[in-house]
Amino acid sequence: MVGLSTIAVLMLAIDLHDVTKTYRGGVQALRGVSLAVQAGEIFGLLGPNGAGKSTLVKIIMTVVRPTSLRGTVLGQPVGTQSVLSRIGYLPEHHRFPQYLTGRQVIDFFGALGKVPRAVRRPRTEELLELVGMREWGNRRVTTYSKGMQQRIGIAAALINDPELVVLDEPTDGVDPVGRREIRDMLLRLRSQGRTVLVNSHLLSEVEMLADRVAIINQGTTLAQGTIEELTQESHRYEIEALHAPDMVVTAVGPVVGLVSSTDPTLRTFAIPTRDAAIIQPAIDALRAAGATVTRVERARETLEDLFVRSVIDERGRAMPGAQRPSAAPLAAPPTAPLAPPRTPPEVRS
Amino acid sequence: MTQTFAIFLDAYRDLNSRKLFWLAMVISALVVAIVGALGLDETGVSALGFHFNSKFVNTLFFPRDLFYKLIFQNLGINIWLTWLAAILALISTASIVPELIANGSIDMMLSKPITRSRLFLTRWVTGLFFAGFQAAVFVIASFLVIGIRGGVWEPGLFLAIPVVVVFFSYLYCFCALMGVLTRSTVASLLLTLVFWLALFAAQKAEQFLNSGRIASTMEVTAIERTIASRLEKNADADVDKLRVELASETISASRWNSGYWPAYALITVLPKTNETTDWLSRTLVKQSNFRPPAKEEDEMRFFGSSRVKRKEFEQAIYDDAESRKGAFWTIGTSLMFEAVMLGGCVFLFRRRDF
Repeated sequence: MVGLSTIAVLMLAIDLHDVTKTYRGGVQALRGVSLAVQAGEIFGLLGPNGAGKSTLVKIIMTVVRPTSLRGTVLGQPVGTQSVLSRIGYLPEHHRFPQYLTGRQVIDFFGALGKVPRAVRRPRTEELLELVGMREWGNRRVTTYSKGMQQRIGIAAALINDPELVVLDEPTDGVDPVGRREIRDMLLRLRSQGRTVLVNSHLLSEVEMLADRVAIINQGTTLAQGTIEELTQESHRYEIEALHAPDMVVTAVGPVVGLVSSTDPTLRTFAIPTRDAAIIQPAIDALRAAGATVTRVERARETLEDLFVRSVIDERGRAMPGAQRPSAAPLAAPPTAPLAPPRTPPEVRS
Repeated sequence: MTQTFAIFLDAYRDLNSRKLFWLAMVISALVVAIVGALGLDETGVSALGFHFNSKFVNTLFFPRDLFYKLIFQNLGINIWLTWLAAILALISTASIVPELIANGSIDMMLSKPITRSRLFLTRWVTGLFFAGFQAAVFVIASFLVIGIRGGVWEPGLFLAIPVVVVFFSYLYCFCALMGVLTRSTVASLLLTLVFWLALFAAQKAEQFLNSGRIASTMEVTAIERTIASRLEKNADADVDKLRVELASETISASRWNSGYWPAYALITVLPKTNETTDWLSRTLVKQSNFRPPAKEEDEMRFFGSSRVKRKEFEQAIYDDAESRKGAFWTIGTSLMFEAVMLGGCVFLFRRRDF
């Protein structure tokens, strides 16, 4: 893998612009998606069902032909044969020939990827070891569980020592222990300088793994960047207090307390700031009003919050008359009432 | 080459896993073993220690080698390899294309550095392995039986292997196109069987019309000869009656011809399954002396003729086939049809989104 890090610095592994795809019958799956995946990063592709994620992945892998497309994959036009030999791909709902063993599946796809036999043999053993399937390698894939088939699929995707690994729902059907192993494996791939594009609906996993994400909905890219960038404006402090007044005044203005659904005497105040100094007057005001502060926590939107808000906002834009749960633009700071925090707090006081 | 070898190896593993493949192999071996177990002497046939006296099946009527050759031709080629084994092969291989293009299966294949055309055509060729293996095993075993039991070694028999594979490929290209279009194994298999039946009917119709045409033409010639002979001998008594008969037969010949040529044109553009086995039979007769003893001469009665002898008629049919239905017309035009079918498959496969 010498040299991959250098490539990582120099180029985008995937650089696509204005990708459109209209299927026969007029169904527009992609309406001008752009995607920039930097070499050497783990990139998460997110979107609801029918958003066009799989179509985009299939276009990259030449399984689906684009209606229009500009850009490159690994520096060359999409579909170039020499590029395909540098990519490893695990499709969603893959089906391996039932008469093959796990070892034969890996070897077969290695051969199709033009990997010489002398290289395939030792590499197959390495990969079986890597995915924890060495003891099962000589069993037919029909005897495998979904998770085991997924592991063999990942091994088959890696047999050609790819620079870019494209995984469509890699943890689908895998148990929690297996998921963690796959996550560790993807992190190891990144540390080796490989680029990983993960298409997954498991947002918490993508959040744990991905350096950057793109959210796609209705065939367009809603947002793209690091999770930190995308949730930057949602940073806030949350103050939870018993017997608190309806509102406190802070440096950023008056903030209304949100009444807890389980305890009417408990209110949560969300102050959109990263500056702890700004919340001090609010804490003082609460105490002065006889409230008991029970929790102060720094929080931000989770990836799931961001995802749901992006998708709902997009639907609201698509249907102007529809009620929008949140009127906030994607990068705008959240306004009260806030979604309850779902990630562990970064700072507790 | 790595990719081609991998696809071929995969096809072998696929075949190896199919029970039907091994069942067909066992039946092939059994058929040949049974034929090999038959013995022939001056009085009749013997098998497994039993002897059956026969006036017609003995070495006085058939030379021993011809006995085995005719069984090979009539039972082995015309019934087993080109009907029963072909059906088993179709059942076994009809799923190859639908399975290739099934979602989840095709994705990983297409993501590899292999062109769609090459992937499809290589996978299609592997479907011919079934028929090829069957034919090879059967022909090699038959070669040994004819050599050991009949005392004659006929390498010309091996021609049957490629011809049977080509025969199967006519059907298999159609099956592949149906597979691409319908994505269904059952639909492609059933449509192929219907297509095969239609081909059979079309070829039989062409053969029927050709027989009628040749018989009628021969009848006209025979009447003309008779009239000429009568006139030479100044025996004018029946000439007028013969002329009336000639006029009637000429009209009949004209009708046969007008019915025949469209049928001929139709089957020229279609794959010729029956004609291919007929061509193989004719070639084996020429190369390896498969011709059975001459039949007794009798009158031709099939098409209302009483002037044409059966032997003359059969010779005329044979000569007609030899002159017009050679390898190019029989196999060449069928392969052209196959090329069109495969072209259609590749065109669709290359353009399709999976």
